[in-house]
Amino acid sequence: MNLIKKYQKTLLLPFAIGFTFFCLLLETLKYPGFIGNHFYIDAKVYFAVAITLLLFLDTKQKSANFVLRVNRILLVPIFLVYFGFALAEGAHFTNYVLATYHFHLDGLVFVPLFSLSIFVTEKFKDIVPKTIGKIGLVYPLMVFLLVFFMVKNITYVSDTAFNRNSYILFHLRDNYDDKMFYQWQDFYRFMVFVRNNTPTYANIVVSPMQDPWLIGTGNPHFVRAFLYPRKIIQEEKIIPDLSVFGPNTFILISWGKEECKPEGCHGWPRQNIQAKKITYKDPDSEKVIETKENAVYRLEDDQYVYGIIEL
Amino acid sequence: MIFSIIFILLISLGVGLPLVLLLIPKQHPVATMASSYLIGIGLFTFAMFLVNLAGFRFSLVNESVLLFAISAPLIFIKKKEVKEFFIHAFYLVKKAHFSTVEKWCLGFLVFIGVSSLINTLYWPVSLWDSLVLYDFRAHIFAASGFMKEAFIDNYYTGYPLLTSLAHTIVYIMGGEYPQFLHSFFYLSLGAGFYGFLREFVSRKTSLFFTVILLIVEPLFYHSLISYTNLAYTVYLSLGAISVYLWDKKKERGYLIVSALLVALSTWTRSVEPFWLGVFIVVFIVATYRKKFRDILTFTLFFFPIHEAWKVFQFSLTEKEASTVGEIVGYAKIILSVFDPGRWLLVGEYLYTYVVTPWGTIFAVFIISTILMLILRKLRKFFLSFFITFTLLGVLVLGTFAFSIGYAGTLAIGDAAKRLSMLFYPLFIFCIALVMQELVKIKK
Repeated sequence: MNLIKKYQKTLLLPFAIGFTFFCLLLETLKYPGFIGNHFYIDAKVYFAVAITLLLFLDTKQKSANFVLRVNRILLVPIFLVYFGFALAEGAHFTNYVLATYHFHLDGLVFVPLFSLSIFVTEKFKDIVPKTIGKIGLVYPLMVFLLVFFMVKNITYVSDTAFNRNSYILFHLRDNYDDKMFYQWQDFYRFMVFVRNNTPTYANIVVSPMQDPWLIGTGNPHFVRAFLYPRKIIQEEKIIPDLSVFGPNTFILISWGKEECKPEGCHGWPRQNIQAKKITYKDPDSEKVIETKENAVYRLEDDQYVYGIIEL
Repeated sequence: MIFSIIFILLISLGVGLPLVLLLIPKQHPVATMASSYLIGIGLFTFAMFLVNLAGFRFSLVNESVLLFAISAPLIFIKKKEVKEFFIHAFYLVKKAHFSTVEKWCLGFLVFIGVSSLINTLYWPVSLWDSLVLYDFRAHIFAASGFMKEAFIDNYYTGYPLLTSLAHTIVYIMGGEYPQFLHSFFYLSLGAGFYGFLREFVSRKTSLFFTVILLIVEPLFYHSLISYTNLAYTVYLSLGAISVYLWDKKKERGYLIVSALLVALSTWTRSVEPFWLGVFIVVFIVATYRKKFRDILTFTLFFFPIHEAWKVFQFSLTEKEASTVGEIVGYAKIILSVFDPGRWLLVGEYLYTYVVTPWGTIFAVFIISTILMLILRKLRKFFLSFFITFTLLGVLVLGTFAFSIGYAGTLAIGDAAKRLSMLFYPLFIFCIALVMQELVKIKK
């Protein structure tokens, strides 16, 4: 490895470490992937190059030793800063850090991880052979590719673990419904509303499987998952014959979430229906906001996103 | 919730552990623990399925009796070995002295393992496929006591029942959050991989490559949710690696464990034909070594589990789904491979959705393969590469076959990404073997 010997006495290693820190900080301020998008080579590549160089080059020279010492001093404060922001995000809402402090938490995670990687690599350094005669440069290439693979994955795993754990830490008292609401938002509340306002033996009529109801009431399997043991019946855009439904049949009123064409395509059912009772869901909870008895349901009178029509 | 966790651990210790000790008494304890969970939960859910078909409802009492009925004789037979296993494991932990590097690796493994568990114990099942299908079936099984009510249309019969029945156990025991089972699959993957690799490399190397495996993005992500892909990956990859151990260690127990693990992969997901790849390797190795009885052994332990679901599925859907039909179907497709245009499409699809997400680990695997072929000292690892390439062949041919059978296959990239997860343990296993040997050459 003459190449390594040749560059041993240069400032290559300290420069690589310093430059990588700079790139990672820049990506924290701009966005993860910024370097790759504007300068063709991703910051993760510099990360992996710096770690590979650290594995193969001598660190006893003054400049390298200085950089490594600075890194050791900064490691804990950098981690504490990251933890602080990760906890702030968990305590508030997703993207709180971006909205409040205008930098990317998923970019910031690279900085402490790079610092930690340098620290750990120093410990690994002595057990990794520097050369393997027969295969020449293939060996450092393999090491570099492995390091790059680790960098790519470890940043995702660490970021996900820290963020999810900090969210959990600040939401320990959440119950099952709170957690499901976090995942499915108002649709989950609508399902709870239907469960609370229909008997378990009810027939539930749902909108057709098309936009704008696809991810919602338009998928009978999805609705069944929430409303079992109620029987789910899927209907067309215009229900051909309402008289086929017996007692204990409820039609779900659903505005629909996705975009659709032509204009005015939102809202279901799309025909007038003589109802025994119409119950509308409060937009901010799973509670009832309004009921109408012995009324005719008309789409044009509809003021709410979700409700049920009892036939 | 605590009762469901205890019950799952009892299944591992009462069913899996004595069975694994019966098959491979001298296996590394960490691998034994991993196999105990995988084989325990897999075979127990299979027993639940059979007992339910016989007319016994899913209930706390019935599952407890079933657990007792299976585990009591097994523990009675292997009582001494189970006791010795725990003494040995305790001794290993007590006497272990870890180097700084090993401590770092262990620390990181604990961090990601605990993070996965914290998340799965906190979050309910909420992602679409699981909520609507795998977990929903479990809710109905637990509520109604029988399977029939869940299978109202073909949507619910498309996948076998391992994960659904495992969730059923949690619900029957009063639990609300069954996703921790998937963290256990993830931990079993790490432990099994470590134990299997440890048979050939140093503790340090084994720990280091286990870290590389467990930080793989899709594997970690799938440990937080309750899809079937992670469980499938764990069963199939460890089953395939067991074939390598069977040949190297000359112990038939590894072959039986392999047959069980691969069979249980088809009890998790039955559409993918990777089991065929493992079966082909076993057939070739057994023929080459003139151990023809081993083909029969593998068949005896693999096919009953694989066939049971096929027959049951056929009884529900009345669609031809026999194994013979499945193999004839693949053969028919192999006959129609002379379509360069389709090959190009399949190649592009695999490159975009499989090779690119694999990233540089695939490049390292290819370099390792070339080194294995060039350097005489590395050729002893040929079988591990042969297993991986056979499964890669199944992936290519399988994608080709699906592109003919289902027109929309090449439009869905996410499924291929999830499916190709199973290659990470195989790639990393091969790379670890090669790297360790390269370092030895240096010394």
